[in-house]
Amino acid sequence: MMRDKQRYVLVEAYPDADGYTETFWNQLSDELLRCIGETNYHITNPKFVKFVGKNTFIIRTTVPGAAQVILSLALIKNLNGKEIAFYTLKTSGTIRALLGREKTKNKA
Amino acid sequence: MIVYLRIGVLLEYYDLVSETCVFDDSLRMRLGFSKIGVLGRDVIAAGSNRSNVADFGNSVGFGGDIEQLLALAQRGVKGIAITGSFIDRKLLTVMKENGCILVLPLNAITASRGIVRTKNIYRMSKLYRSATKLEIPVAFVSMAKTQLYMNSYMQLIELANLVCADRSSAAHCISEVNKKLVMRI
Repeated sequence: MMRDKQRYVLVEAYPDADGYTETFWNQLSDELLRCIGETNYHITNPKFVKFVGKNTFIIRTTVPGAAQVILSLALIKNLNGKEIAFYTLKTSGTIRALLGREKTKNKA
Repeated sequence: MIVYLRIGVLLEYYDLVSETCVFDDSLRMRLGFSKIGVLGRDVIAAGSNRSNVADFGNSVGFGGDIEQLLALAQRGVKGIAITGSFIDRKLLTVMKENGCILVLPLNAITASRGIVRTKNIYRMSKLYRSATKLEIPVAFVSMAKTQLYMNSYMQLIELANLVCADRSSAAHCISEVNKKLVMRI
């Protein structure tokens, strides 16, 4: 089966992501749906991957939908009545490259 | 900070924020900007009461009054940000003659919601198209009043793309034209 190529987006929340609960992602995906629109949401198909720091997390999206997700994150300023901003720091095709890990130089 | 764009060109990105915006240098680096200029410190707001009349070369004119903006363009301000809903052909012609930059503050899009946001996008795209027809350089700046409204360089490119600039010209505006705007002469 053919797998679609994915794009990983590193996002920083300001002032904070308010915990690491599932409700945070549910609220954020609702806002993303509002910004992207019901007819285009399936193209972007954003999924929460994991938190990598206190306020930093990774979103997985499709390659053609990455620009829409970046734009929508710039437009979201309110989440559940609380002011919040999302900065898109980096995008990459792999989580390893996104987090800036060095590849092992000497492969056997 | 130097960032590689997808097309392979080495670009440095610049932004301009409002004087009330407070941020630290680590945030600037994380957002991918070489410099974030502050209005009032790096660039003078010529439309305000605090304008320095002697230094028009480092000023940006703000306002919705066409006569005031025309006078500022004739005096040779560095940039003009039109806050009103009009697009005046004469003003754009004077701006071109005097080498003024058209400044598009993107906080009009990020800080609004609903129909107001849509109207602002429409107004900005019309302004952008009119300016590019006359070959006036356009600067896309966040003009954030607080840290909440700041954006990374990628978000600025996508916002500029929303205002009908294609990605390569948006990247050019945010790197080259914003540099001219932010750097002091």
